[in-house]
Amino acid sequence: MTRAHRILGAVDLLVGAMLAAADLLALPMRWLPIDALLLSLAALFLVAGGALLAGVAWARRVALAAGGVALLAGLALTTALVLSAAHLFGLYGPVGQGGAVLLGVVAALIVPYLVLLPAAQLWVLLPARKGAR
Amino acid sequence: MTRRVLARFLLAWAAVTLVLAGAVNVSARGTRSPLPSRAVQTWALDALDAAVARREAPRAPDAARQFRAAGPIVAYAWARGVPLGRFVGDASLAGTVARAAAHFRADPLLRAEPHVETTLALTRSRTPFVRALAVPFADGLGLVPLRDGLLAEFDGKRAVITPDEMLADGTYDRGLPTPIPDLTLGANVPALVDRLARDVGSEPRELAARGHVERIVVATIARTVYPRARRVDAESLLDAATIGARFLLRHQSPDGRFTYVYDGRTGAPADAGYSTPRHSGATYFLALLGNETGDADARRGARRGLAFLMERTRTCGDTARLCVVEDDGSVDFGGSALAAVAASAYLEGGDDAAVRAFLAGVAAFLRGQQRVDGELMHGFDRATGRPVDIQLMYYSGEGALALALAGRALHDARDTTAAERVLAHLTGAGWDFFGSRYYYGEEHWTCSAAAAIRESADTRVALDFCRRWAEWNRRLQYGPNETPWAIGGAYGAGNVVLPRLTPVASRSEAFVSTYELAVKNGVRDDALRPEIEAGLAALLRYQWDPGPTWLFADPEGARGGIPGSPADLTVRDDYLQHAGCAMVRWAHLLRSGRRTWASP
Repeated sequence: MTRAHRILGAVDLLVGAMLAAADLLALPMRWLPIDALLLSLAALFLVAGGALLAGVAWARRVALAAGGVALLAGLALTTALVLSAAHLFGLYGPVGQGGAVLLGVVAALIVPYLVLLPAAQLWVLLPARKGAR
Repeated sequence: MTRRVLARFLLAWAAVTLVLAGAVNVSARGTRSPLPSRAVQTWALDALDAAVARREAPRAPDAARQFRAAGPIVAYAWARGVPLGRFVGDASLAGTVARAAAHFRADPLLRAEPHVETTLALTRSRTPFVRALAVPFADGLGLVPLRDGLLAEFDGKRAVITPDEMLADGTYDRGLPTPIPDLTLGANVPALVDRLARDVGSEPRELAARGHVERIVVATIARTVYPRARRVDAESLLDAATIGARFLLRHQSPDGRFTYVYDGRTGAPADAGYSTPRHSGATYFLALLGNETGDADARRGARRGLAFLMERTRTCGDTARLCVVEDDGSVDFGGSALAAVAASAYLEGGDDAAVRAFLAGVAAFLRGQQRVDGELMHGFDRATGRPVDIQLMYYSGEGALALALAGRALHDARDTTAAERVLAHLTGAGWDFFGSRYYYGEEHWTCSAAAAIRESADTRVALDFCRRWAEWNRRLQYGPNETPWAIGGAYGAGNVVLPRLTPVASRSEAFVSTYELAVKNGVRDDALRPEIEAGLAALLRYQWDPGPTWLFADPEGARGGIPGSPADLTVRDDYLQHAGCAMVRWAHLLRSGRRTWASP
């Protein structure tokens, strides 16, 4: 197990815990589609984090799956937000300071955890060239 | 999979998202077709009016015969605010007007109406109506208020909902509730689609599956122009304030009570309770106008308004202390404070022993509510005869203004000193915390109070506070073409919320006070006057003079009102209060001809 794997493992545990807390504590009501998505993602990160820290053989594959699923979800959400913003800009014109701040806050909540972090995780875990480890 | 594949994938995603966003943006903007000339518009309305009156129609000019809209044209014949006659035509103006005229001519309902007003709704662009976007509530925001309507086509049938119909139905700004009272936004899209589906003889799901719904940008063609740009000078401001006062007086009962909420659609009061502070504010405006212009009717209306308040006065603690109470007997601190403001303004126009005694009693009550640190306690328990130390929004500023004006009217130094202490607290220790330079509350009463004591007290700290508040608001003030609406001068933090006019009015009034403070202290602030006049221009533009008369049940009854927002057809008594006070006070400055650093 490399130092990078240990760091990734710790980060995955943290993100998994944050996602679970966000769903169970921050959301005011239970709604199956969102609960299922967030808790599955949280479980995937927790398992991947634990496995990476424990140095088990299948750790890399689970961590890759966690990063991949999170990245796809993050990209889909970001795309939807960008298209919505583009539509509203088209309808209403420049959205103003308030709108910019609001969109910035939404982006700050999503991009680091569901785009940058999973992308970094995949970057670390994937080989630079085919066949390399 | 390798890192290189991952990088390529992310780059491809970014590029596709960017291109899609551009396409979505362009599609949402649409391209608007030009409007017909004013002469052609007048011909169209003349032709429809002639049909309603069963007169011979004027001949269509060549330009009218050639004009084609981007989509359907709808002709209306409105009576008592209701579209009694409605004809949905095609894109041809002359063809639609001819067929609508025949339709109106044959309508027995229209024949029976004493006053009918015709309008046309002209489609300027058609774009796909996009729903289910990812931004929260984007569905309700998918229609730009006052500009966008909907068009549905199903099985060869067509249904249209125009902005005027949505305005008449009160559909705009009702779709999405917010945690802030008085603030809702967006359209109720499911209800609108439901109506379209019914109109084409379908169900919403069936319409979505087999038909299609488009967003249409619509222009209304009417005899009266609304909103109507007007210059900002003393004459126009006093004219506007006077017709505003006439509105209030028209809707004041003999016991002095105002219509709390007037609904332009019904021409009658809306059942919405009553507010003594707002009643007092409206009374203050009438007194102020009477003082400025010598308007005897306004002064009589103010006296009736004061009589209503004096009727609701009780002793609070000491027998010399008077307070205004609610219907349930509870003490209304804000109502008492603004009653004192109105009484003070009334006394400035001439003495009245009963009003003077009332004012002295209320001022004594307000002084008794003051804490050691200058803050006012807003509760009072009549059972124990003791103040209750709670603070409510607006009330400290209102109390400060009441004491400042009472001190001036009664020549009582105790009131002036008490006002100075409240202000020292509100503009000093009361607004001194981490982040206090980046956020402000509703401070219009505070700055008005500071201006009221400017001749007798050191107001440099208050001026600094009010200038910071004005600067903060300036960043939220819209320029002429920043929003889809002609609402430059109003305040807001984002285009998707149609700006409200009441905050424009209260801020404009407060910045007039700030201007007075700056002049008194010899501080030059060149940004204040444009900010004030842009706000006043917005208020003048949206005052019902005469307003969208076709939407009113009683256009004469509605004249002079200022609605809560451009998409609102109701007037609450306080909507006129701040607007009227701002107009009168700025007109006073313009007329005074004083030479100052930026002499108006």
